[in-house]
Parts: sequence; C-alpha cells; structure tokens
Amino acid sequence: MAKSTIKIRAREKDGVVTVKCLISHPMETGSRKDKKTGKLIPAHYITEVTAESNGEKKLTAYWGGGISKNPYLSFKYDGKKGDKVKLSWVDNQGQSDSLETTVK
Amino acid sequence: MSLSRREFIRIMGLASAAGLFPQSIFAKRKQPSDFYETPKFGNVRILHMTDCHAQLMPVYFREPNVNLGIGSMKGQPPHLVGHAFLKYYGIEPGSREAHAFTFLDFDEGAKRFGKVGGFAHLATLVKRARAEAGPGNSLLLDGGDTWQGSALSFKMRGRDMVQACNQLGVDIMTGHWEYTYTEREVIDNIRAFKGEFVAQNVFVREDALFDYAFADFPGFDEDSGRAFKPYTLREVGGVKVAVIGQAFPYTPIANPQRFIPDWTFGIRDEEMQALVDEIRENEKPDAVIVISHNGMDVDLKMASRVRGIDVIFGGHTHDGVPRAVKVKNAGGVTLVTNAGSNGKFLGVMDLDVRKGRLHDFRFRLLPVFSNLLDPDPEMAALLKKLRAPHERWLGEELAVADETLYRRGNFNGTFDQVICNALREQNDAQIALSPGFRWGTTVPAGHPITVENVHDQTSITYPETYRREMTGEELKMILEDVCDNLFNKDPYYQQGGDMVRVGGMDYVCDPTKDIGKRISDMQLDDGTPIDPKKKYVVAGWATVGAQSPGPAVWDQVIAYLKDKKTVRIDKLNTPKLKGVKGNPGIEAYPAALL
Repeated sequence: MAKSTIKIRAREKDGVVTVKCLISHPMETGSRKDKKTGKLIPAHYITEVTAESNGEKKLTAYWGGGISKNPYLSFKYDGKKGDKVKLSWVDNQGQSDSLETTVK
Repeated sequence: MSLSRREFIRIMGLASAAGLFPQSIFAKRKQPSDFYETPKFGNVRILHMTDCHAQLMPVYFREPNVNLGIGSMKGQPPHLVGHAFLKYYGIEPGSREAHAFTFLDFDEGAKRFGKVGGFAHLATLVKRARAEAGPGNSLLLDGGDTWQGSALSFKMRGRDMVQACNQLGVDIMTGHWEYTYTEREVIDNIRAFKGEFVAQNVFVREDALFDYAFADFPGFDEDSGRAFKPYTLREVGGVKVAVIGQAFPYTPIANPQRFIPDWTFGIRDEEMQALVDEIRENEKPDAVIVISHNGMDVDLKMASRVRGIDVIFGGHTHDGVPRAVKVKNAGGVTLVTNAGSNGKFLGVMDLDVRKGRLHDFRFRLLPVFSNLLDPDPEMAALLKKLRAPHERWLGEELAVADETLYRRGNFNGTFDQVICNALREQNDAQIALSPGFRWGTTVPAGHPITVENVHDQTSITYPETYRREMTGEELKMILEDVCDNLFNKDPYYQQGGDMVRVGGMDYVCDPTKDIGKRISDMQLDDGTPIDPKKKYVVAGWATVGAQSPGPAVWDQVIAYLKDKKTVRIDKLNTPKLKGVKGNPGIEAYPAALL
C-alpha cells in the first residue's frame, strides 16, 4: 500500500480533543502556467474534507483552489481518549484518501 | 603611532604585565581589597551573565560612543554614552568604572586597567559571590549568545562553551545565537549542558509537529507545542523562585531560518502573561524572574505590559547598565537589568524575598577586570585543554593595528571599516556591506591583529561572502530596512543589532524620521551621487536568506591584513547624522551632526 497522504494527531485534554492534520496534495488552482511549455497546469485540488469521530460526522469542509499546497487543518471537539478519529478527502479528479487514528 | 614588534613587547611587558599574568606582584599590589566586595543582602542572590559570545579568554572591549535612543527612549537608559553616562550614574571620570562602562579615554584605560572578562577570572568572581551568599542561596543565570563568537566555538559547534558553562556552574540559560547551529546541534548541546535551558517563546511549527525529529527531547511539550522547557522552579535561600526563559524573538529573521526549520519564535507577551499567571496560580512561587534575550528596550516595554514578573534579567543589546530600571505596570513594579557583553560584566542581584513577595533588592553590575581576579585553576586548566589544538593558528599575527580597532556603536566601527575595505579590495567591488553585530572584541592601537581577533569579529555559521550587482534603489532599501530595525519608535519592532556597516559609500541618516525617510544623500567615496536606477558592484557577507557562493569572510579579511601589514583607517564611512544633536546617546562622533 502506498504511504497515506494524511498525517493525523489527536490529543485529549480536559475533555477537549485537538485534532491536527497535514495532507500532502498539490492543490493546483488550474490557472497557473507551466513556465517551460506555457500551457495551463490542470486544476487539481481537494473539494471536500470530512472528519468523523466513532462514526459520527464532526466536520465537513468544502475546499477549492484557494487553499495552499499540502494543507494543514486543525479542529477541536468534545471527546475522550480512545475515540476513533477518521479524516477523509476527495478531490476534483476523483482521487481520495482517508486515515483513522486513536485519540491519545 | 606604529610600534615595532620589539617596542610592542617591551610596552606590553611594562604596562600590561598584570593583565597577562594575573598572579604577578603587579596584580597583587594593584588590587584594591574591596572592589568586588558585595555585602550580602536579603536571602536570594541571582548572578547574571549574558552575551559573552564565546569569549573564554580575557579581551579588550570598547563600549559605544553612539547608542542613540529615539522618541520616548531618548536620554533614557540604556541610551546614554560617555560623559552623559558618567553623570547619570555618578561615576568619577578617569576611574576604573568609567573605563568599564564608557568609551572615554579607551586606549589609556586599556593600558592602565588591562583586559576584561575571561572565564577563568569570571569563575573566581562567581565562586566568591556564591560563597558570600552562602550555600543554596544563589543561582547563576546565563542570558545566551554564549555558544557563538569565537573561532573555537565555531570549530567545536558551541560545545566548548557548554563545557565551560558546566564548569562555571551555570544553572539556567536561554538563547539566541545558540540557534545558529543546526537543530540537531542545539538539542545535543542542551543535552550536554548540566543546567537547564528555558524558552517560553519558541514553538515547533504546527506542520513540523507530525515528523518532529526531537519528539523525545525532554523539553518538548506536545500539548503546548513548545520546543523547550518554558520555565523552571528552584528553591533558593529558603524560598521558591520561578525562572522563565525568553529567547531572542526575532531569531529566524535576524539569523538564518534554514538551520532551524522546525522552530518559530516571537515576543509572545500574551503567552508570557498566561504563563506567569499559571505559575503564580499553580506553583505559588515567592518570586518570578525572567532570563531574557529580548534586548533592553523590548524588555522595558514587556515589563510595562506583563504583570507579575519581579525581575527581568536582560541581554542581547549588550548594554552595561549599572542600575536596575524600575518599570511600573498594572500588577506593580518589575525590575529590568542588562548585563553588557563579552564576559565583561557579572550582574549581582540580591533579593529580599519573603512570604511570596519581593520586598527589596540591591543590584551591582561588576566589571570583570582580569588583573584583579586570579584565574580559577580548574577553569584555566579546562580552557588550556580546549584551546591547545588551536593556539598556534589562532595566535598568528597578521598585521599591526595603527589605531584602535573596535566595532560596537550604532554606526561603522573601525574594525568594520577594515572588513568593508577587505571585502571591496578582495572582490573588486565599489561598495561593501557588513552586518552591524554588537559583538566583536577590540584591538588597541599598537597591538598585533591575530587570526583570533579576525574570528572574534566574524565567527558565524553563515560566513560566506557575495559579490553582486545592486541598484541604488536596492541599496537604499537595505539601509532603510536595517535602520528601521534599529530606530523604530516602537521597541517591539527593534531587532537589537546596529546599523549595517558600509564601505565605499557615504550617506546622511536621520534616525528620528520614519522608514523610507531616514536615509538621504547617498554617494560614492569620490562624491558621485548614487543613482537609484544605476547598478553598483556590492560585496558583503552573512546573508540570512540563502547561502552565499563566495569564500568565508575571515579568509578575505586575513588575506587583506597579511597584505597590508599595518592597518589604518584613511576614511571611515560613517554617516552624517541629522536630528540627534544634543542626544545623550552620542558623543565624540567622527562625522558631522547636521
């Protein structure tokens, strides 16, 4: 299996879980030109990110070409140690990835 | 005045024997019995050294004749020089203290009073001050800029200084130039350090947290994101003292980020307030002190904004300030000190701390005169061992200084001019730029300039030189940018260095104006005005952004000095100044005050 595009860390403190994620993705806007050929580089960006905790949806984010390359996402929710946190993304070319971790 | 080598040796033998051989009868006879006597006061003695810049051996160091305060800082400590300084602090002109704290009659004073600093001499003073306080009643704090500034520290990547500080018994330190080694080297040096390294304002970048190479480093805290332990608690003199670290906030801007890609800094006075509150609430200390590398103006402002700090022991700006400054804030009063540089001073702060409160204090900033203090035998042995493999090449004499060569001051020092002249000549450049560091020791007139002296002025981990074309407009932008870092009316925007040094170009500077309006009348040495659109060949070194392609600056300066044999400054490219007439932060300025 290829290495996941997602890195995720989740820590609980005082009943609040802080989730930090880093996603490897080019996030091409579709309006940049290749300096050598002069042609447009095709758009390639994440359109939707979702986060679940123990199967319950906690977050949905609609993204576009305005988000930087290799985006970083952090959020908090009321939770506990041992929760399963799953992050998923889909992009405009139909690619996707997801990763699950356990809250520490 | 130019001395032959023989004359030089003779004069050294007569005038400075005491400085070189502190155990000689000269030293004994000269020693006033009470110069270092500091009667015990209160129950907690904090010893503070800062910005020694890896000067393990005694040196000469000339204090500035230009240290301008602008806006509300005008005429306020630390922005006093020369006679204004002596008057403000009631120091007798011509005295030993006057020589230590001011530039006045530097050459004469250097002959009379000899060298300053040196870890073996400092160790003796530290031991004495700790013995006076009694066991368990003192702490030795180091404000940082300890691992950088000499050829030896460069070769040993700061490890020589870690060993020397362990021997000296440093309890707690923070940093700035420490971070110009790689992250791995910083972490390894801290692991080898027997004291504690504290910094509340250094965080691991959020995107670096995922693969952080030092996740097992004990100082790292994943929850807060802090890369180093922010504070420590110590039992001193029967009370509980919290010591918070404040590293230099602008490290990744003033120095290369590329060596420390995972770390992010900042003044972060909100985090400081939160931390002070948290410590006061949870740990119930009797006193809260900060070991800071903010620089004095930044410390003074921080002290006015953050409540609950009893004392800030400051460094970075290399200001030898004999009295603690009392700063009022919403929570009461915070004391702020600054303890000079290059191992020249040891701050001794005696605190009367009882029942969770600071009641009173006594402060002295003791100049470390090498010939008044016998070298500590254990430290001397360590230094000898560390230096032995390098003594030969460090001691090579390259040329003789025909006039006193120094750096410190807001604008070009004479040693800077030597570096700029070397850069211009070696790179066939019209203009040279050299950074306005505040470290760099002094070579008195008539003394030989050794390889070690050159490294004392240039020893950094990014010494590479460049030769490139710049437009007049770009040159002005550089000068304006650095000048704003120095003279911004808001201390939080000051980075604490001095003005970039220039060679081959003159200009007029008005420090009281705003950015973009301070620099005018730029012209080449021959009087030709600088054309904003025209390109000029510029040589320089110490590029922060990316590594420059040329050889190390010390190689170029060494080649230049060997060629010259005798060094005199025919023309000092120090700017004419506007708006600072009557400012007590300037005296005996070598160019016009318009």
